[in-house]
Amino acid sequence: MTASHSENWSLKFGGLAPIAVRAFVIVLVSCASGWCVNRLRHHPLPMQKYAAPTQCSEAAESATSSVLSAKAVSALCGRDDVLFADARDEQEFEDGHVTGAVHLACTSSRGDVGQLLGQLGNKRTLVVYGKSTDEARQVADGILRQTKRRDLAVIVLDGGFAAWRDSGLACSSGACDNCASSIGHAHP
Amino acid sequence: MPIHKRALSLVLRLAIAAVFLFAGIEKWRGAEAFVEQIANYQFYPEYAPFVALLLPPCEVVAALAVLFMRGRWRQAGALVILGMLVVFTFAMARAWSLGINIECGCFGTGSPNIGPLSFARNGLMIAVCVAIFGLEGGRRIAPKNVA
Repeated sequence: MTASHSENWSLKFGGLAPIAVRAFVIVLVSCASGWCVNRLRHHPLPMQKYAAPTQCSEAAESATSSVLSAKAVSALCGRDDVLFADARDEQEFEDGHVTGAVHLACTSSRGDVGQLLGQLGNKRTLVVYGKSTDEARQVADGILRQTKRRDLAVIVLDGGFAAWRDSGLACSSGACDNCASSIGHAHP
Repeated sequence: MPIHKRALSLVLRLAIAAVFLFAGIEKWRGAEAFVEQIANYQFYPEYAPFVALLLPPCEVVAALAVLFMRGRWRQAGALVILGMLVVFTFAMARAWSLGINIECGCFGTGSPNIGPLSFARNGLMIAVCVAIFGLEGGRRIAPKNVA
């Protein structure tokens, strides 16, 4: 009885070698499929050792727009590497805008952000302003999400265009040069 | 194999395969977050990306083997799942004993924190895997003294 029982157990659980070989094959197939799927991913996992995020690298990876006052932004005026972008509608832009600013058309599709990024060229700072801080921040974050340029700093003008105008800083008026081929920004 | 054992095997295989298919797909979808969850265990965190890359397909392929393959392949699938469960349980026990309060990462993002329920669930699944292994092994036992 005991011998028969142990024989049955041996038949059930014994002969593990062929099962272990098959288990190894399953693991190998899994590794291969995992590697292939990762290669096909839009953002593949980097095949390198994990490094815990530090404060600095975290800030660099998850770039977000920063909000600056009109006075602080005015210090950027005249610099070759800075572009101002107006996120308000066309009529408001014509009534008055920051000197040298380009107009962003709210009706444009996501793909048109490429035009703005093309116009940026080598400029490394984009100042976005709108009717309010929140409006401009939404536009700025939308641009940041769609650009792969990690060297681009996007600044939001605190208080919108009204804050700029009320501070007596340089303004222009008139139809925008680029409105015929409006530069678009994404709606968040 | 008697019909009731066959039915029991089918139910157990369906249950374990459903759990591991769901877990594997969820981890595969949220691979970046899964890397963080593995690293949070603080057990060789530098290898977290490799584990996050290889573990989800292992779960999916092993679940498919348990569900659709036959004989020793089915047992092999159960063995792979059993091995993974043992490793998961060890990792959770280590984190718990060190007082690390983290998500278990069992089902990707939004998984429950490590606690008694996690261990109970893993224990149950280990028992299911052993049962599948035994039931499927029993199929191959030739009837003796038939002639």
